[in-house]
Amino acid sequence: MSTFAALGQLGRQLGGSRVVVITTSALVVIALIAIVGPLFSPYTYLDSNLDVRLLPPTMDATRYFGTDDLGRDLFVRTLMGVRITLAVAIVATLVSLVIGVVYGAIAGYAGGKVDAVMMRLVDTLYALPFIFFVILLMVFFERNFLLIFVAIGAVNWLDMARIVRGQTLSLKEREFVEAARLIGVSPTRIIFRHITPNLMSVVVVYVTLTVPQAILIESFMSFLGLGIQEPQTSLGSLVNNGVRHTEGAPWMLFIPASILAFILMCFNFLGDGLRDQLDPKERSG
Amino acid sequence: MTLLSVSNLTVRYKSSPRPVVDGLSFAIDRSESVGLVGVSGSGKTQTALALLGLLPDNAHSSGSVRYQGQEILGAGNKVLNAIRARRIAMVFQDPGAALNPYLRIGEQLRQIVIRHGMATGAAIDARGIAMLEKAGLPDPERQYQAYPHQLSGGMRQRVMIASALIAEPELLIADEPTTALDATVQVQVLSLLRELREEMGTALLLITHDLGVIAGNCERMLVLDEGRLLEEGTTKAVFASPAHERTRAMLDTARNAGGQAAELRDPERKPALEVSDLAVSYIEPRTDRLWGKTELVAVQALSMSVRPGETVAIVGESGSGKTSLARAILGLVQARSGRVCFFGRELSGLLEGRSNSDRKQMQLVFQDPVGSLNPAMRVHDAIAEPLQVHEPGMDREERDRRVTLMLERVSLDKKLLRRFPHELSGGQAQRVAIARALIIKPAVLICDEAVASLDGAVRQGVLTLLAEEQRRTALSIIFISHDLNVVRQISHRVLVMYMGQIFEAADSADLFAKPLHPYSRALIDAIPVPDPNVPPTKPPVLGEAPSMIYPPSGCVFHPRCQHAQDRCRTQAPKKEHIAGAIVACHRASELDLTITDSRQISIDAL
Repeated sequence: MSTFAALGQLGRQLGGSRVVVITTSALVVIALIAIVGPLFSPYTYLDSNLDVRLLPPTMDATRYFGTDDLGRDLFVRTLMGVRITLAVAIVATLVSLVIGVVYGAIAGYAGGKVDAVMMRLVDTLYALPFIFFVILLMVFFERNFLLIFVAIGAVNWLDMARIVRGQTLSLKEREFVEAARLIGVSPTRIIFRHITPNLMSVVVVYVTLTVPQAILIESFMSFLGLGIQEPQTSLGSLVNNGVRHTEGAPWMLFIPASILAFILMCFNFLGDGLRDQLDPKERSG
Repeated sequence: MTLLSVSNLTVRYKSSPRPVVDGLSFAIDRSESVGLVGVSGSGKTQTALALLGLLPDNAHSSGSVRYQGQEILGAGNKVLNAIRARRIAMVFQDPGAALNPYLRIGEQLRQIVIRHGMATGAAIDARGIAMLEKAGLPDPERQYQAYPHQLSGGMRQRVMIASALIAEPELLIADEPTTALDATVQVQVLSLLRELREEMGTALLLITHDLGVIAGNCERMLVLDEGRLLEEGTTKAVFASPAHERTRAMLDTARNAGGQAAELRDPERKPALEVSDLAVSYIEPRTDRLWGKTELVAVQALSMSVRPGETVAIVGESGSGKTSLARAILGLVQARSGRVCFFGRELSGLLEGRSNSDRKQMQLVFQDPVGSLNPAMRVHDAIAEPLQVHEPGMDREERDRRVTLMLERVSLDKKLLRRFPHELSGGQAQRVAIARALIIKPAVLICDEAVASLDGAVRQGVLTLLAEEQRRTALSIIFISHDLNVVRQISHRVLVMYMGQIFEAADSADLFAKPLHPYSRALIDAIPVPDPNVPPTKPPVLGEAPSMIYPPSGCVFHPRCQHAQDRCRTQAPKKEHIAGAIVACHRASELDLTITDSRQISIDAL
């Protein structure tokens, strides 16, 4: 309840900023097009037609973005990529959000030895080379969709946990937490009713900065061939495929790359906008 | 001759339709001292900023501000820079924030001297050091080389005054110059200001919410309310017969802090809370070596008790260990030794070791009311939470009923239940904090500077509320304050603390009539009297309390004591019982510190 109240308050504060409103609407529009768009095309992402390989974008014949080297429709495949990319980013971020906030808040509030042990574990995980870790995962398990979420989430929650722990350390010294302790509120309740709602502003900002990071990691993994498996696709694998045909069919690279860049830019601006808006409140306490 | 004339000054912020300063007109003559008084939010500081062209970008000012006939409102930086510091200087409330932490004091003074071409070569430094000496800094050569953080708050404010007056301005604007300081230091700074003004003939615009400060320091006063000038006149005339009702109300609250202590129901009852030999110390890493720790003793083997229905005030300058004592009693910090007993039963040293039924018996009200409420929790949830914790079986309706009842008891409107803390005023937030503490019916309420951030009528209201609650439920109150004026009426007994020790423990009435310890007397003398007919007091003690890490030998107060003798320097005094009071002073029985001068008469007349 209190967490929702905090979010509601946040929403009201955000109402004013132009950057935030524009980027949010742009992202919503992209997501809607990605979901609805394929319905308006006669093709599916699987259909390959070798007669129309490497067709440049045209308005007629509904090949809006052209076709790839296997004659698959790029319009549908790009929207499919946007869907997967956004899904990976958002799910991975949510995973890291939940684990990171709970882990960080507990470590920060408990303090002392508990905190030391919990945070050294984070430090240890930090020390693992990420790509090495992903390749290991891929070797041990089948390559699948779920694994990407796990891999990205497993890396991102570390940052989140550190940030949340730091905030919790300063929040627990605040008078309202002491007041709650004096009243006899249990530690669990203090963490979830008094600390977490007050972390929201920082966490929301950090989440918007984590999403593009997750997108980049996914693209990078797909680019290396560790990510999404054909015939499914993501923006990263489309770009990867496009690079091989840059000379003959530049649209195969530039269309998905521009969309990827645009989405990343939106998230980055959104994060900046949120940070600018929430900072003054942070300072005034 | 008119130095500064302001007419129809209006300051408006883009975000708000109501102007913060509304058509203000006044004039200041050469060498005159004018007080600008008003409750917080009345536009005092905005006026000062507007005069010097220091308003933020989103503020708009209109009207006219003339300095010796020259229009300076809206003037360019070139004109303003020639006037700022050289003609009109300003001293801000927080000396820590107004000094650049990265520059030595000397460098900050040099800049002003050089900027205004007042000296060259070696004469620059000589001038700076001479000014520091005038400002009463001990060892000015050394302080000239010091960084701001190496000085205490009072010393920093002296440096601020030195840097404001070094260019010999004709007008000094001081915005709450002593609000952040202890009363004992406030007296020193105000008397320094008076001396320097007398010597240099500087006019003064003193901005404050404290009518006691105005009374002793200003010839004329302006009363500001919601951005408008309420009234204007000589200080004596306004104090004697205020023209406006609101001014009268302000004067009444200044003369009477409020919160009449209730008659003790049963003075013979067993104490609700008994503290014996409680000592608190903090272990801190050494700052002078890489390794090792030092022990900072905040409270030394202190004993006290509070009976049901009794208010015990703990007073002392900042750093005297008042708050550490409260935190140890509550179990927020572990005491090094000693016992805390609740109705004869010893409590665990740490809060976490106490049962929930023990915890609810002692509650705390903090100094910062907004900070002590969870910013993400609505008023209703904040007041209901203690009930949820202590009476989990209670159904929702009953809980809501109790919350509403409690809200009525602290005189708050039901509409506030849906608000967040930042949507409340300071006084409202403090009432919510009190409601939250009292809804579980504690036996002891500790108020740590609970009214220090509130002014005037709001403070009076909160004190009255506390006294009412005490009458109703025989609540024991430990009232921690640095302001003796507040403590006067609300408390039955007063403990005077200095460097972690009790110097004097006496009944409130006795203490204010005939203090036994020179330090108690000094604290009482430091209260600014809201009466312009009482001559401003000389500083009753000099300097500030020394560091707890290196306490002075003998009686820790001797370096600041006017009555110190040789044995005070070598021998720590023992506690003596004199006429129902406990006092720790070698000379307690031989000194007569009875307050007999005009101050006492005027305080009693309040």
